[in-house]
This record gives sequence, structure tokens and C-alpha cells, in this order.
Amino acid sequence: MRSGGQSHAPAVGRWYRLDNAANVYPAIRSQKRPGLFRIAATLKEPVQPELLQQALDKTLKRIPSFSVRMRSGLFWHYFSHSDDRVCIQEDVVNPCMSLSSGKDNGFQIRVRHHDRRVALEVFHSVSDGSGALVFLKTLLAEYLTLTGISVPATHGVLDREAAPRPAEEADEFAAFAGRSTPRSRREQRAYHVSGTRLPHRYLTITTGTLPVDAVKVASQRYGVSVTEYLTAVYLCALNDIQASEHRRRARPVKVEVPVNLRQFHPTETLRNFSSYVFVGIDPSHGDYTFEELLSSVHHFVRYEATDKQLRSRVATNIRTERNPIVRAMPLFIKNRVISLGYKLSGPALFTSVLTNLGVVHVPREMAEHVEMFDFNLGPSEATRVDCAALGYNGKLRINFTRVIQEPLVEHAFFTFLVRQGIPVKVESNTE
Amino acid sequence: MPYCVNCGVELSNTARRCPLCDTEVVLPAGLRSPAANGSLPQQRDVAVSAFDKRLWIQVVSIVMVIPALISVVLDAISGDGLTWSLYVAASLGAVWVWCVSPFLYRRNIVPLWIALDTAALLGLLYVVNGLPPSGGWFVPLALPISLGLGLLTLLVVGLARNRILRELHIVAATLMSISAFCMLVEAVVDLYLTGALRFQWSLLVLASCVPLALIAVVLQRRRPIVEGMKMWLRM
Repeated sequence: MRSGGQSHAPAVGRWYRLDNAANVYPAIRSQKRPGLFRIAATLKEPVQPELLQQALDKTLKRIPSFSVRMRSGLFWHYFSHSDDRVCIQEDVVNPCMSLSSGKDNGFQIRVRHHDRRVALEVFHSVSDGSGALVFLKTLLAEYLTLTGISVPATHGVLDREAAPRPAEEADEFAAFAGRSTPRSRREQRAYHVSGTRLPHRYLTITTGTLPVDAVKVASQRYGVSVTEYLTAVYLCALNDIQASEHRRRARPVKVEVPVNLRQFHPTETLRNFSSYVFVGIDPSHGDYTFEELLSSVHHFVRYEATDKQLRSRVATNIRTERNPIVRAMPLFIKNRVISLGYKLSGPALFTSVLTNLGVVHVPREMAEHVEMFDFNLGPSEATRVDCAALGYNGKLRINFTRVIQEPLVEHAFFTFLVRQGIPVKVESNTE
Repeated sequence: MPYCVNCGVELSNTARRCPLCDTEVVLPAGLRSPAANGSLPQQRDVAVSAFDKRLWIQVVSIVMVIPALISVVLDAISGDGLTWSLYVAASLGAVWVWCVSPFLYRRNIVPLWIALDTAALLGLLYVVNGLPPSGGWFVPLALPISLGLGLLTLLVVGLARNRILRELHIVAATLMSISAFCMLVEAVVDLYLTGALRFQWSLLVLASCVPLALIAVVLQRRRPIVEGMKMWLRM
């Protein structure tokens, strides 16, 4: 994160510019598109709220870029750091709803707890999944330390006694883009799942638990990665749903797959540092077998998720941010322009999101006390169903967040995996 | 450990129906976990604002349109053409705009609804002045005062919404706007009545507002006082 104040100045009174990816979220956020995601950990013992609050207080001192309020400048939004306490909250059955200036006190994160679960909900301007996971691991490490279990600062757990490092707050997008040539944003509009809208602020989360090994074996059988395999299954499920609607003209089915840029540009930043690729098929070209679909996904991802292509994609956003007309635009106009741009080049271009945080590694001392991790995306009015996955302790947890009543996508997705010979355990927040 | 006979997926011991296909889960007695899923919270994150804008617009429209129509019809059948009913209709139209304009768009476009409100006020005054205007007070009095009110409101609200002004600075700006508006009113009225500018009562307003505005600006620099006031005044 680029700091507006002095980098090493005391945290009070500091302000931060939003990173390149973060600028879009305040402009497009609404009650129906809150822009939050959630990472949760289920411990083996019930959570002690007092200790969790103490752990959060200390973690926010270590990672001050999460203890911020969103402010509006004349031209851009910015974050102002606050030493006010971020209070933990009881967990709810409908997470990731929009942040409230009252209950959340203007902060852009929430820490919730219920029974054995600790959940972190983050507004996407603050961080991405990888950054939020580091925060949650550090919080858990501090919490476990307070309960008498010492957890070392390894496997993505930050040293809680050390001072915050400027590199952890860096906006790396411009450095990553370098002098790469921007690319076109032009894409065909994509198919969207239809269904009966759930009442406002209701959402259904369906969780599938799969053995990581079984998924690895299945993906290796086809010579693809786990993410490519899951993406192909997801595209297959979405394609089947569109086919069952007997539309006169089938639209392309495309899934947005976020890509962690840290694998291409090593950095310590806990800010947003991810891009995405649109992986899809056009059903108007004919019927796809699963093998054809897998091959298409595999080669497309290998072509698109490369250093050069991603730099070019990031360079496009950097160019927009640096455009003199955009920079001179007052914020209230800029918000409308960004919102309009997002409508035209955002979810209209993809059917759904599938994000895979990968396998979560934690120190052995922590692993003994953490049963599982979960990753959820917040509700999206445009895509209606989104999917987030992570692996931990030999299990792959796949969470579908849906704002429509019909579980068509999850049904097609999980039953496909069952037919592939992968055992799936399904739970839902509606049980 | 139950399975869905339709989907083939494993389900939790507490599940009564498959989340994917809604097929009922039949378990022998005693195998089902007695309690509901304890790992799930029961609490729901409630809506911050459940205000139904569309319903509000419909109700206000019905409440305004029916009396306006009745007035126009009664006035028309009385035989002298439309006279008093135009005032009723114009008043109700202005009230309709004031009530509805903030909710016409999904996002609050404040400059737009302030402009609409000002236009509604001007429309009402235009009608009150007489149709057609007979060179009365509308142009020299109502027009500059209404536009001044709209512009000053737009200025303060715009600066506050864009966080250029915050907390007590908004109070200061509001006080200064009130004094500016009073001076405008006195100037316009003086010019209309006597043709010469002579500020009197508006200076008293200015003399009251300026010290209060300065106090607000000074207090804004004392963060503990501001935070204390925010905490105290928070509803």
C-alpha cells in the first residue's frame, strides 16, 4: 500500500491510497454487492471471546493496514488508519453482508466467532484472499498463544512482536506491470444463471468437502492442475444448466478465475495483489465433451495465466488509473464512471467466479488446534452464484455462495464429481 | 452417516433434506443427531435499511394525485374555469417532488434531487404568482431567493457528502450559509421595495453566526471534544 503519510510514522493519523485493484470496490459496492469475502477457521475447542478480542487488538497493531476506515477525498477514496478498537462480533447465518457504519464502526473488516469458529470478513479494497489468510493465521497464532499454546512465526504467520514492515503495505501493481503494453478489455457478454431471487440479505452457502488426494488423482489422470480440473467441472455444470434452459441463442459460459500475482512477482504485501483470467467456452460452437473442455481450459489457462499476459492485463488498469482525465475527475463523477464501466466490463463478461486459495499450510503447533479452514465469497447480484475453494488437512472445502433459491449449480457440480468417483460431503447453512 | 439416495453425496447427521435436490433423508431412529447443527449460528445479519422506495413513491403518488384530481374536477364543473384548483394541484405537485425526488434513483444523486426540489419550489411560486405571471414578484423576488437557497444547500451538502467538510466544519459551513442566505434575502427584498441596498437585520444574523462558526472550526481541531460530541450525540 502506498502510504500517504510517512512510512515509518506512528500509525495514528496515517492515511493510505487505495491500491490499483482496490479503487473499483467503493464505487460499485451496494447492499446487494457488498464486496466482502470471508475466511474462517474452525478450532478444536470453543473460542474464548475475551482472548480473541485481545488477540485481534494485538494483530491489528502488527498489521495496521487492516485497521482502517474508508474516506472520500476530492478525487479518490483513501483509507485512514484508526486505533479505535475493532470489536469482535457474534457470527451470523448470512455472512459477508454489507458493512455498517454503526455496527462495524466504519472499519472495513469484521472478525466473527461462534462456537469453535473464528471468521474474518474483509472488504476487498483492504486485501485479497492471500493477504487475508496471513491476517487470519496471525490472529489465530496470537489467540492460541494467549491460551497457552506457543505458535512460531512460520508458514505465513507473522512475527507478532516485530514492527509492521512497509513492504507489507506496498501497492505492487505498478511495479508488476512495468512497461508492459496494455491489452484490450473487449470480451463477449456471458451467460448468467437465472433463478428465483432470495429475499434481500438472505444467502445460501453450500459447502462440499472432498478428499484432496481424490481430486489430485482425478486431475492428474487428465494431466491438469486441481484448479484447472475444478474450473472444467464448473464450466461443465454451468454449460449443462444453460443447455437445460433451451435458450434460442446460447451465450458463452465463462468463469473468472483469480490469479495470485505473488507467484510471478515475489512480495510481502498484504494488500490486493491478484489478477484474473476469464476461462470459458462458447456453446454455439457445438457440444463439448468433458475431455475437450478440460483440454480447452488447460491450454487457455497455460496461455493466459503467464507472467507476460498478466502484466499486460494489470498494465491496462494502471493506464486507466493514471489517465489525466480520470485523475482530474471529482470523486462523485468518478464513482459513477467506474460503476458504469464495471457494469459494462465486469460481471456482464463472466458467468461466475471460481477462486481457489490453494492448500493452507500452518505451523504444526497451530495445525493441532485447527480442524478446518473455509473460504467464502460474498453475495453477488450479478453472477448470483460464486464458488471459493481451499484445501487444508487433506480436505478440499468448496463453498458456493448463492442468492437464488435453486441449488442448480451446486447440484450439477457436486453430482458430476460424484460420478467421477470422488466422494463429496455436502452441508448447507439452511439445514 | 447418511447419503442422498438421489445425488449420491454424503450428508451431515443433522440433515433432514439434501441441500442439493431436497430429497428427504430417512434415517433409522437414534442415528440422527438430536440437536440442530450446532456449528451454525442462528443469528441473522439484519438489513441496515429496509426502506421500500417503490412503495413509498406509490403511496405518496396516490395521496397527492387523488386530491389534486378531485380539486381540478370540482373547480372545472363550478363553471368559472380552472382557478383555485391550480394552486392546490401545484402545491401537491411540489410536495410530491420534495417527497419522492430522493428516491427516484437507485443511488442518491444529491445534486439532482436538490435541483428538482428547487425547480418544484420555483414552479409552485410561479403558479402562486398568477398564471400567466403578471410582472409581479416572481422574477425579482422568488427566483433569486429560491435559486440562492438551492445553490447554498447544494454547496454545503456536496462538500459534506464528499467529505471535504466533516463534523463541526459542516456546522460552520451551515451557519455561514444561513447568514449568506439572510443577506441575499434582505438584498433582494430591499432592491424590490426601495431599489437600494441597506443591510440591517441580516447583519444581526451574520454577527450571531460568524462567532458560532468560528467556535465550531476551533473545536474541530480538538479531536477529543469532537469524538466526545459524536459519542454523545450518536443515536
